[in-house]
Amino acid sequence: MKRKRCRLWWPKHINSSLSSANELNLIFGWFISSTEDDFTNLDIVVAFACHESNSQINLQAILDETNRNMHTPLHDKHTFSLLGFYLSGSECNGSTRQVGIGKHTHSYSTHLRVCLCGSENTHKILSETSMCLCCRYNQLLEHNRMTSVGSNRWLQLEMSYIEQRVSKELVTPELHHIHWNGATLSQLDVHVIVYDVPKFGCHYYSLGSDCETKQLSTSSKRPMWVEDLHKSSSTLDLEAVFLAINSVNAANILLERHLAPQALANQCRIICKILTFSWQLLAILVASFWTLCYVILQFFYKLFSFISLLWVYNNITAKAFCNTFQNIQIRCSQFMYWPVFLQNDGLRAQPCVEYAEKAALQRHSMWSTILVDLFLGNLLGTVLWFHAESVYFWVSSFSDGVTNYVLRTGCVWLMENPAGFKLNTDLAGILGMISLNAIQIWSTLWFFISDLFVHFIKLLALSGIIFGFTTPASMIIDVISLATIHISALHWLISLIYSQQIEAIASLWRLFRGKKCNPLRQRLDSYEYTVEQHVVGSLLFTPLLLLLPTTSAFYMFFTILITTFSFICFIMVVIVSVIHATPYNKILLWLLKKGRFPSGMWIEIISCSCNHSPKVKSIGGFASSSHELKGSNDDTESTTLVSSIHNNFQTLATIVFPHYICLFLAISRSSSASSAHGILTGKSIPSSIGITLPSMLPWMAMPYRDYWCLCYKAVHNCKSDCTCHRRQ
Amino acid sequence: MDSENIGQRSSPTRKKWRKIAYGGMQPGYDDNHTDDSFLEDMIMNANVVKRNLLKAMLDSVSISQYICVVALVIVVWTCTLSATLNERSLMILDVGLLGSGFFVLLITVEMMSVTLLLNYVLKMAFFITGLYILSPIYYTLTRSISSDSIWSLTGSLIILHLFLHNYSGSTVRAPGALENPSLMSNVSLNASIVASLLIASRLPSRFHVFAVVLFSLQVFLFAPLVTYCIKRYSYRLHLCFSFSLMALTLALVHRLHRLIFVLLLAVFVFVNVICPYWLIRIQEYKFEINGPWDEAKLCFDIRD
Repeated sequence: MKRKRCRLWWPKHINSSLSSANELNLIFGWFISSTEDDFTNLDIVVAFACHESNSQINLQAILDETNRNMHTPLHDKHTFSLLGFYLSGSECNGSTRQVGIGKHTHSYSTHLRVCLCGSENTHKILSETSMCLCCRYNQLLEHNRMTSVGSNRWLQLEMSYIEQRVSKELVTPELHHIHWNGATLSQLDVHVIVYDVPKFGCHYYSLGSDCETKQLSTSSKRPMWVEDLHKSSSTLDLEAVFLAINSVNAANILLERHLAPQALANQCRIICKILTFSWQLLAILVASFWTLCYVILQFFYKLFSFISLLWVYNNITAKAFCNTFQNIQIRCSQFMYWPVFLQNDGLRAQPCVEYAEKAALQRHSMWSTILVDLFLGNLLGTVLWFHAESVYFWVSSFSDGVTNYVLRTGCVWLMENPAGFKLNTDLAGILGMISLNAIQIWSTLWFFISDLFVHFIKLLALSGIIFGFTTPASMIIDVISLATIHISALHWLISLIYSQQIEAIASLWRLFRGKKCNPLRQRLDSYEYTVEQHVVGSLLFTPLLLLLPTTSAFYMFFTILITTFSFICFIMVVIVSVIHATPYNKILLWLLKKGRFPSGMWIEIISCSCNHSPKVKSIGGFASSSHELKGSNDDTESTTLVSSIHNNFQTLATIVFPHYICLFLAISRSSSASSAHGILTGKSIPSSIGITLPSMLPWMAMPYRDYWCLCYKAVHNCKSDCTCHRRQ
Repeated sequence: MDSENIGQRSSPTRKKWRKIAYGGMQPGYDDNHTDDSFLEDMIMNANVVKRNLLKAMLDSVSISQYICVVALVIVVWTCTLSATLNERSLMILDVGLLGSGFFVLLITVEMMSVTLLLNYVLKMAFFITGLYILSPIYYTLTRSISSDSIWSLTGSLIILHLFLHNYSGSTVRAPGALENPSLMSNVSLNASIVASLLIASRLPSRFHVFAVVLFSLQVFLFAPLVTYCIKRYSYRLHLCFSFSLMALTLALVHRLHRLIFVLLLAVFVFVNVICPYWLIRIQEYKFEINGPWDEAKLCFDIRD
């Protein structure tokens, strides 16, 4: 028969709340086993302990209510129950305490001395186990508790405490025995894992990212042995254990509220009141200010829609400034919707700390983004506002430099023999003259516009102050693409010539090979051509081939220029979307408290009954600890391993990276290859790079009064996020 | 199993093996079994044509004739480039060639009708107009490229043209000719046109360009046609024409350059004397076998 193994998850804090002397304590928690009937691996998660004197209350109702409050996947599979009892006594040893744990207290009786009011098998079991300590204590204390009604399997286990040798504060339990389906099991491999109770705002336990990927990959088809492997690993069922551990605090609070209602009462009432009052004041202030902003936004929205009805040229401006408009719209919707996101109450009351943390991060993401963006925008805006003149001078000198020393000199250079290429002088002369004329026209226009440019810089600064950094950045993108419109027009012309030429050469080459392209079937068909076609083809092929270097030189020049400018625009777009996507609240919380971002854990072995020297092991999953237990299987005696669990923390990269990876989903190898192909054949340069900005929400039309209430509630409810861990 | 049993049972009076293409396995014999009578059907050198030296030499005259034509074109090019031949005389040459070509066609081809001739004239007119329009482009095409590279490119293209040329037929499909031009002859025509355009782009005026391109296109396109027609009309006339052409070429080249003359003479000797003699000599080593293993051959033209 296989050796039974048992893992006991023991909260650290419980030691302090337990009474030291020879008294009986009830302990609550979960039994988590993979198979209900027979177990080889059993996880016992201890959540709470209270003094036995509390047992006069109707425990069953309290436990039911607690179960109902638990997270659904947890309370579907495993029920929160009275596990058993725990005794801190000095009966056997000076430093030994005993603990009994029982499963399933569907009815709880406080009858004294009477055996049980349950089914017959419980009588049997009790009579069988009358020798063991727990029943002795039962009789001693004249206290009898657990019956399982309608369930054939119930168990009772007992543990004794060993004082920790290393540190005095840590007291670990020892399993004495366990009753499981009528059998008394005392020869067990016990692994006691001491955990710190996860609290909101402090820390929680998480398996890390490996488990998620494992679950994802199981959906695809796998060979049989992989399925077997998954089955064998599922006996551990660590997810359920961690879900239970993360929900311990919620259960504790509920139980405490029922068992010791007076304990929650006033400790520092005055300070609390002052805090609440000031918070309310803050909420009112923020709500009023924001409602004012909302009113202004609504006014401008109506004005803008009215103007757009009147103005005929709206389409052109909207196209020229599409980035700006898009960013302003996103920012406006964010301005309007942050109270809605913050107020989201549905996720607030999460029993599991992990989910509660994640929901809180979700809630606070939008306004933190707005705040950081506004801060950056104000920084930029004030600098621009006060240095508008010098910025103007710098920009105009830069544009002059580009026009004179890059565009004009480059065109003149191309009209000669650039870099030893044998260009056709006549064609190069024509193309160069066209481009020089276009540049001249544009620079004349620029001379007239440049007076308005100072005002534009002021506008940029103002938009930065009002809407945040992203709006002026996208405005700069639009202005760059507007200012380089002559280059893009020239590039369009040359690329038209170049692509036509390339296409003609390719089709003539196919003609000489006796092939023709069949676009319907995407293949080359054989083609019988006449000699006349052949002669005309070869007469055209020679000049096309010999003129190709000239056009390609011009094409390359303008392509390099336009790609440089579009690369600058691309960088700006990336900056804008990074600012939108960065999780500022996560980064801040990570800097302040790394415990809120766990990823996997490691187990420190404190003591082992097989005289293993204490050592520290770093573990990604749980495999090595179970291996430890397996190694001690050969002994006939039961072994006990005491260890404590610690968190591994996420690095900043693992927190931030998932937010950025969805940004650049559109940029793949195939898309870049296709764009490179487009550049080489002169078809097109991708104008918009597929970077996703945050989605735009529909315009909100809410009465101002309701909006004020929404803001107030949202800010006011935030208080619970800040203070709830203090309460706990 | 059954077939083996049958084979063993009937082994004393075994069936004779026969050659059957699709008869399946014959009982008692392996799948790859062949008889002693297999090699009896073998035929050696069935399709080999017996050639004599004189016929081979006379046949090779058409090759040297075409080499002469190309050499004459190159001579005209060099004369034009060195300005010994002005554009007016070039145009006269063009017209004369065109007229004589049509004349030869009219004489030699019996099936020549008025509509076909009109068709030719119309196509020529279109062609000449297009060429005249395109000649300014050709005129400045290679101005920035040096003359040496143009000459070397032209030389290699002409050699490519000579190697890939279809000497037995003509590129332009003659009336009554069977086969369509092959890919090789197309490549060779392409090479000749590119070479003539490259040469033309070095010329001093647009009219020069037009005249030279027209001349070389006429020659490269229609000379094979004309010679083919002459050869079909009368073999004796063909021989006379070839030898007079060779003499003319040699005389012109001799005036141009001594070394090239020697080279051309050597080529003629090689093509007309050495190569046929060589062919007759190695004819002795010809060994061709046919037998029952050959695949089936069609004995009629599938297009009919």
